[in-house]
Amino acid sequence: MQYTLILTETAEGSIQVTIPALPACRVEAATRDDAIRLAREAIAQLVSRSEVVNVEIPAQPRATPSLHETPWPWFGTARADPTWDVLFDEIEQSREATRDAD
Amino acid sequence: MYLWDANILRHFGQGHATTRLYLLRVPWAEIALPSVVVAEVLRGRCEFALKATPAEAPLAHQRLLDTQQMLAQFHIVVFDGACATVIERLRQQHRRRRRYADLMFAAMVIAGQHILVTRNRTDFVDVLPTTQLANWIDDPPDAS
Repeated sequence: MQYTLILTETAEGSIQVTIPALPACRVEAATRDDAIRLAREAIAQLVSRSEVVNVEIPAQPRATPSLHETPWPWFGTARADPTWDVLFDEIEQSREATRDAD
Repeated sequence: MYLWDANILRHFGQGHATTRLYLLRVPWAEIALPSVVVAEVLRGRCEFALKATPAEAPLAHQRLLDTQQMLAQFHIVVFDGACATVIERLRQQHRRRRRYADLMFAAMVIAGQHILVTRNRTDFVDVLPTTQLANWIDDPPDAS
């Protein structure tokens, strides 16, 4: 099995390795070759102690929309709807019908 | 909360420029529809859908669902027991002929210490202090 390694040079000049498929597995070494070797060993060690189990989760994570953005998709969407104004005219008429008697 | 009268929702749907300026300044979390407006709008949409001819019905029913989804984006302030108490007091204090919905809005604003956003501000000036009235259609926000 192949794993993608991301080699990043640190401010101190060493090489840090992160493995996207195994985020808990990180190594750091003085040279590129050592970093790759250590990463290979760390992956082998982790994999030898691990089991892959697939589970089905029907629910998807819920995105948290910004409260500012939430309504905007609806802003102005009634422009092309000729019944929109009629709707509110009728609301006004219904309100007038409820005006208190003198 | 900024409680919207139906006339503000109307202009929201129309994409009114001044309403947009306020929306850019006021956090959405501070804006709400009174349950009275929700009831009025849904009643209207339901009546359109139920009275539509077979040819008109598909669009009328789709508009009912679209409107329901639009309303679902808003915070809703419910006319509760505290509002019912206030409205009785308002009816005794203000003998001028009033529309029931306007009294309900005034009661909700007083009970919840809200700000009523309406184009019909003159209908409320003797019931609500001016600091609890706003017009997001005709009064542009300060440039500051």
